Amino acid sequence: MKEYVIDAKDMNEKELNRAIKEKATSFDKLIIDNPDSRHNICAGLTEDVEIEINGSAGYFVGTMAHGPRIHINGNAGWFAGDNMTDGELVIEGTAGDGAGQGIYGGTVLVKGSVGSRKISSYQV
Amino acid sequence: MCGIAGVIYKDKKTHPVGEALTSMLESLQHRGPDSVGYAIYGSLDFPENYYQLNIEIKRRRGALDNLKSLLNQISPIFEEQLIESVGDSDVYKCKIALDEYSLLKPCISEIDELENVRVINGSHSFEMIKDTGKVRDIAKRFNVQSRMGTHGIGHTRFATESGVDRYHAHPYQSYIIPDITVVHNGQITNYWKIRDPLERKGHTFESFNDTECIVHYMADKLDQGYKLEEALDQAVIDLDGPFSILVGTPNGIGIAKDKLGLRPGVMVETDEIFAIASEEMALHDVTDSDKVEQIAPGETRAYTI
Repeated sequence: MKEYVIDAKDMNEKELNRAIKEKATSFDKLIIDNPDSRHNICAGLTEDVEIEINGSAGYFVGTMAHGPRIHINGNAGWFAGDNMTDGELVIEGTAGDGAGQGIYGGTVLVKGSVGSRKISSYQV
Repeated sequence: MCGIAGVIYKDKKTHPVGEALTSMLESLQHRGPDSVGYAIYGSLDFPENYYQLNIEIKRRRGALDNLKSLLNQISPIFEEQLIESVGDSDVYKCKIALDEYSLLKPCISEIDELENVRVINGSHSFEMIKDTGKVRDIAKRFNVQSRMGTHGIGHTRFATESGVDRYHAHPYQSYIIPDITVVHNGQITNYWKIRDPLERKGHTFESFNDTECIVHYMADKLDQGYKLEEALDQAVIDLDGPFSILVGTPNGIGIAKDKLGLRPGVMVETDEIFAIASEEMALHDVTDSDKVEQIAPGETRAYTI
């Protein structure tokens, strides 16, 4: 299995997504370090690729994704897996409001709590 | 949008709050490009009845001399600094003494009568820094990263109402009680319903900005003897619209989120700190903990030292 590590530390949101899209065509698995809750990670990604995010993702992680299997070792912000049509989004921590909103296909799994609309807050 | 951030250190000692808030606000820069502001508490170690004034002053011949001659009629000027800024004005910062706190607001009003100047704020226990532009530039301009404090709140503004200028940058302050500030992400839709009763009680409004309305509302509640948590709970009941409001007082910070949870707010609490921000990335600037809590709709959280 061919793996590639993307260190997002000094990348802005667009640079990170460009790197993901480019590397996804030639590697089986991408590991993203230092995501720092950036928004829109893996937005519109259509490759059959495994993505491991080491840290938390911000708003709209995996939005409009079709195919990738995304694993987040952290939390996600608002609208995780928004409008996904195929693939997998697994969140080890918590997700904000609107997880899986407008989803047409694929799977969103959140192991912690989802959204803020509840009586008491949840801690990982 | 707007980004809000707050941090308080539980040991009551001073910490590099300026640096902490600057990192948090840089992480939230994408939420608001218009202006930036800080209220850093515990940074001014002033004797009783000494105050810091921040005054916006236009670069006009004689403006500074006029200002200083008026100030000298009110109080000796103990320290002063002119900070060069952008646009057609700079910020003049000085330290004065008054006989009692009730004279601060009239003093500010008197200075505001002068041409070419506008008082940004007057404070005793905290330092207000706010200006238009980006976090990095403002932090450098005002040397924010060197500021030590016990706690503080900050804001990056995406203006949805009123002008983009230094005065309309958050935090807003009220003089109903000493040293209360508010930063805010959202809009208050029953603005006049909140403002009218406050004005009838004699409180004066300087703008039509909803955040100014919130800070007077909170100050009025604290003045009536509400605790910070109780005032925040009452705000959730009384204020309408989407909002996350973050309040700073000389001994604490607290957040209130609207009943429908339409604006974001996350927090982390450890043995050392209590921190609040619009988004998670800002919390990681002040703690390694990943125990991020989503603040629920209508929930309030506060920490006082």
